[in-house]
Amino acid sequence: MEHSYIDEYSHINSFIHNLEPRIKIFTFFVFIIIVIFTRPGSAFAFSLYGVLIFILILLSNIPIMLILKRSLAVIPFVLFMSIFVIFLKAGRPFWEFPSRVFKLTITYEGLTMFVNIVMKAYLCILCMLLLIVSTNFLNLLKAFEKLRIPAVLIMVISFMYRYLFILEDELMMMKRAKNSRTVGGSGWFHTKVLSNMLGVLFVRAYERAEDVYLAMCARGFDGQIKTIYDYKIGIKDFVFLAVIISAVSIIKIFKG
Amino acid sequence: MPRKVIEIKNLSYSYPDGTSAIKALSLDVFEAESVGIIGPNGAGKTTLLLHLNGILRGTNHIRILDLEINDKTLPLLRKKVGLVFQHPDDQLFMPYVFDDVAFGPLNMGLTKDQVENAVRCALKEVDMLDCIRRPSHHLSAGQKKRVSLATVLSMAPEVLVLDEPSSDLDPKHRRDLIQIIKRLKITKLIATHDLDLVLEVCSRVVLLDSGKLVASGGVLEIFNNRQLLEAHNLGIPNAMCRTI
Repeated sequence: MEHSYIDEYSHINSFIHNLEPRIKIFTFFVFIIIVIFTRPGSAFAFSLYGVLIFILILLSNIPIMLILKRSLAVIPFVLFMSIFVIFLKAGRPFWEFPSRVFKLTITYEGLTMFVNIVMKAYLCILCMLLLIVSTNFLNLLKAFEKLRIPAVLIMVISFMYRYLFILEDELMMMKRAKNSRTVGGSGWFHTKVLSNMLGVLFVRAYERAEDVYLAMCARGFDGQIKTIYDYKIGIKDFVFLAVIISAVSIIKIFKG
Repeated sequence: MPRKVIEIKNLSYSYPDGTSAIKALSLDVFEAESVGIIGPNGAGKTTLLLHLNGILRGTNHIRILDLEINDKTLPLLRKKVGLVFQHPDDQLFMPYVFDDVAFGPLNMGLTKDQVENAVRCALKEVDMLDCIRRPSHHLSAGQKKRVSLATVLSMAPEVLVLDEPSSDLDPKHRRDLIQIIKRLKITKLIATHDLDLVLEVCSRVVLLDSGKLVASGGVLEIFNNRQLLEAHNLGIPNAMCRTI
């Protein structure tokens, strides 16, 4: 079965793609930190950040629609988490629920806060998407490893990337096998069957983990994953780092 | 007399739950031989293979390339004995083909250039050099099987141990794989139900059932014995049915 995979555009040749992954991670990290510390309500600063990210996306030759589409997938979570702010923040009332029993007030301060959170979250999402989409996944992991993220964590993520699709395939196939034998039955019954399937999936994943470990041992695994890391930090990487960080800082200092 | 590569004497193994998988099995394999291990489901073929590079350790005696299996010789043995598992999704655990094939050589402590070279040679040997940068989960079953083979070839083993190399393959990919296996001039042990593959690749056959060695001999000698084969849930290979 075919899946879309997260670094599908990582083989393109562009300025952004050829940057050293560690530098990319660091730059985007600083970018995100500065965005987060920008004062709420400074709309001009936010739009400048946005323009900067779009310039970077254009430089990367990645279809802009792809990034926009993927960013939409995250937006509902942000909205869900931040929607309560508009009621919780005290301040000048903007709208009140017309009832004495249920007191519900939307404030101007709450609304500003809400817009602020959504804007910041969206800018950060765009940043991270650009980083992930424009970097080969394994190189990204290796870069994180070089940046002293614990190797065990990196290994877990690498296995997740490899086996997530297989688990998904297995669940799909089980579902198909179930559906082709399903004739009637109540909704509750199907729910119970589904939970059984998840149990089976867990056992299979567990046993597969054992087999994979044996396969690793058979090829001389000694508890440490060794990989080749080809990238070297060059002048263009430092130029990128300097330009982006100073641009973001200038926006922050003068407009944020 | 060619060199004895594998020497198994009176090997027994029970799984942790008490099921006895191999009972007093003895087997010798000589250099450059290709031995087919056949037998019904659950005969203990895979269990036997797992002993050959020390993943499982049964009671009694196994010598491989004149080395006892113990913790000291284990790294060397795993380099010398290339074991390919039946399911490519177990065998291929890294995100990309290159990294999977490089996994063994990197563990052997080769330099970057040597690793790169070993990976390319191994992939070329199985005609998969085009897929070097692809993610493993996007390969077809036939491609995965071939990359699996490359993951151990890159370690330049002296003994190749294959578990069901032709399962899940369409006829063309199966034929391609058989040709690839035939091209490799090292000692081979192949556990399979695909008797036609054995007929084409192997010089000797070992028949296992319920963990015991039932028969051992030349390919034609065993395959002409219909009674023996059918008594152990097997049948005469298709290629031979046509000629008889």
